[in-house]
Amino acid sequence: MVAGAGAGVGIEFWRDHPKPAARRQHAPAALRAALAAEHELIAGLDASLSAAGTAAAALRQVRADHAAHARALAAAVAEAGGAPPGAKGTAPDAASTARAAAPRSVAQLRQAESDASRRAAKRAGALSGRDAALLASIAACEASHAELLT
Amino acid sequence: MNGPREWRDIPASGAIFRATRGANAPLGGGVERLTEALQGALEDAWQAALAAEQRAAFGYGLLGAHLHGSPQLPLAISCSDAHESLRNATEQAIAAAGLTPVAPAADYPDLYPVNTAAQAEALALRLEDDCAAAWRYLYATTANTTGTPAETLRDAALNALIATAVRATQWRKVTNPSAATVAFPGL
Repeated sequence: MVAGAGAGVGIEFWRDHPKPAARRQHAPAALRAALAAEHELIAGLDASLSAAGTAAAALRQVRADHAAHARALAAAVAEAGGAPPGAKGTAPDAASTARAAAPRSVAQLRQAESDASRRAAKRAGALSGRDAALLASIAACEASHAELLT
Repeated sequence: MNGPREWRDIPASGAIFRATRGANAPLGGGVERLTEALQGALEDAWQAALAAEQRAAFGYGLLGAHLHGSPQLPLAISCSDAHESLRNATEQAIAAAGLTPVAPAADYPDLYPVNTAAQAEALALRLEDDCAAAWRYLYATTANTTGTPAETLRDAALNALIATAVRATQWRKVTNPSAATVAFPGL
């Protein structure tokens, strides 16, 4: 019942969604930052997987989610008129990559997920429409990562 | 004036507003602005979130009986408490905004059958996923709406989305540990 009602209203929501031209004014900075953050999280996980032991399966789940986030964010950046994926601001810079590439303990990765969730929530607040909802879901997912790694 | 109470009164009525920005700030624009902002899709989404919480609270009452003696009983109790609290807070907040909260259904036939612990765990996960969808939708709707009321609701919706996504993962760790998370909760 609820899902049906939500779906019906949702049709109207998407129909009324601001056109890309309107979103282009404010979307790219927060979206690019979010995309860079996902790349950094992925790099941290890649550096930690080989020594993760029994936690490796969970880390692979987390990594797959971040890869999905990165794809969605890259598409949102492109739609909003931002630079294509891989351009400056859409991938981690050398310093952040170096930091992320250091292997981390599960506890450190859990903390990184919690921090990432808070940052994604903050970025969501700076966006509107579909981009904001995307970042809200990412914030929720990263909070669930912290739970998974508990 | 016979309009709804000032928006600043709403956060105090429920736990879902504990973390809202500027929760104690006056609305400024007056009740007309509040009423206008809550019309249409925003009110529908808020009521849908309440309906989801009502259904979840009912569902946990239904499934809890099948988890007695199960190691998952404490999780079910914790989740049930959370949904009952959120249901009550949302209902109070909607009423405080001068709106009539949607009434809970007498029964939810789509939640049955629940005859085993495994069915109870699966239902718990479904309830959390459905709540995530409802709160995410409210968040998306507020993100298309300007004004202090929408911003306050937006924070509450995000908090609820995050909390229900975490509970869903707690259940997935039980029911399907090899896929304990979803990339986009609420979608």
